[in-house]
Amino acid sequence: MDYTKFLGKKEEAVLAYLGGPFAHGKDRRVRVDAPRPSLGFHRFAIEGRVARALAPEESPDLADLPRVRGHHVRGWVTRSSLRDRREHVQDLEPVRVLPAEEPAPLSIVRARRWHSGDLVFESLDFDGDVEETARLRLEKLEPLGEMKGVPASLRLAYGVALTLAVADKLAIPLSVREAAAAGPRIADDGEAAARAFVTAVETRRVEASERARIRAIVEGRRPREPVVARPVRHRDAPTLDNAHLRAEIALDVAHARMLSSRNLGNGNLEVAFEFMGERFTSVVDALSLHVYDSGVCLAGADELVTLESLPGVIREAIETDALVITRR
Amino acid sequence: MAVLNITYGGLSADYPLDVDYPLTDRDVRRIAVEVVRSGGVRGLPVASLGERAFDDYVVDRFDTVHGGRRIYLRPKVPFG
Repeated sequence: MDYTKFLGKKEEAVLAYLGGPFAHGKDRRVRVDAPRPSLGFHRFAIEGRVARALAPEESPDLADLPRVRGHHVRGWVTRSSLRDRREHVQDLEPVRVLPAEEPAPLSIVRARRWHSGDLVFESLDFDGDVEETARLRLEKLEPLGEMKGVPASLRLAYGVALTLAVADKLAIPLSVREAAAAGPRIADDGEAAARAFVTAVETRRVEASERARIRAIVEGRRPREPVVARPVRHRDAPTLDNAHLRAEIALDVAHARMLSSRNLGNGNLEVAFEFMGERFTSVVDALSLHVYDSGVCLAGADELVTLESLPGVIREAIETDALVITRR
Repeated sequence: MAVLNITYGGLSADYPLDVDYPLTDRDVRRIAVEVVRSGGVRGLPVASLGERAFDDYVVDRFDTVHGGRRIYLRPKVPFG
């Protein structure tokens, strides 16, 4: 056979360009030359294994390609072959080359499996009553609950759509795959479940970012992420009324046990506590727990510490045989 | 889960540390400088903090009854 006749052979073909360096035909893959075209169907000039985009084209006849049908959600389709909601990882796929007018959420999409393995849009089917009813419920962020005749693909699409709608309201970015993790459950339970799920995802992100930040500091690198402001907790809002409770918590976490406290007026609090078997009495600011009189001899440096750090100071004094109790 | 408590200027504030590895005293000081400087420690508003602000500070560690750890970074104080 004369192989040289294949070299430099030129031809034209309509292919779907779906991004990346290659476009796929029925039985081959060609490298797409720069400048690369927009995503969609294009007529390509193919020479050897290199293709150059000539012009956009309408979708060719896709009838010979495997068909996939399902419910649309944010550019993805939940396949109607879905039977068990646990299969959602495999049965949720993006659909490429969607029409300029985006299909309505939960509409029934027909797609074809392109040679690259991607799904490309083919057409929309007519909605049934169940899709229209579901769409109305979605607008109100209501659960599907026990609604009859809901196929598994619609239930998953509904859960994803509802979760993403709630994420939008909360201004928390969420992808379809992330939303799909709890999709069917959220379809059953509605907005409250979606809100809890989205918030939990955001919390995990913040925690992961925080871990990376601390790791960067420990390793001597400048952290990339800014510090995230912490939510206000009860003990972060000090009042004279909760001074006793805050003092008790501050001592307890440092293995000290509060015995009593009393308000001395002028915003001062006297705190008696036991630590390492010994009894101590300190005077602190009732709001900040700033120490005025530690009750141990600190050479006048009492005000450098707070009730929270005082047990550590006392432990050091005990361990270095320097403890002198000045207030009883 | 550890909580870093930083005492500075007569005030203390907590900062949660979600780390699952041991921190040296030097690590603790560097973390404290970073988080206080960037305003991430609620209750410790420090406009400008030197890189070595905590170099002479003492690190105390306490295990909590719930299996957590409290790390205190506080000024060194004289005794007697």
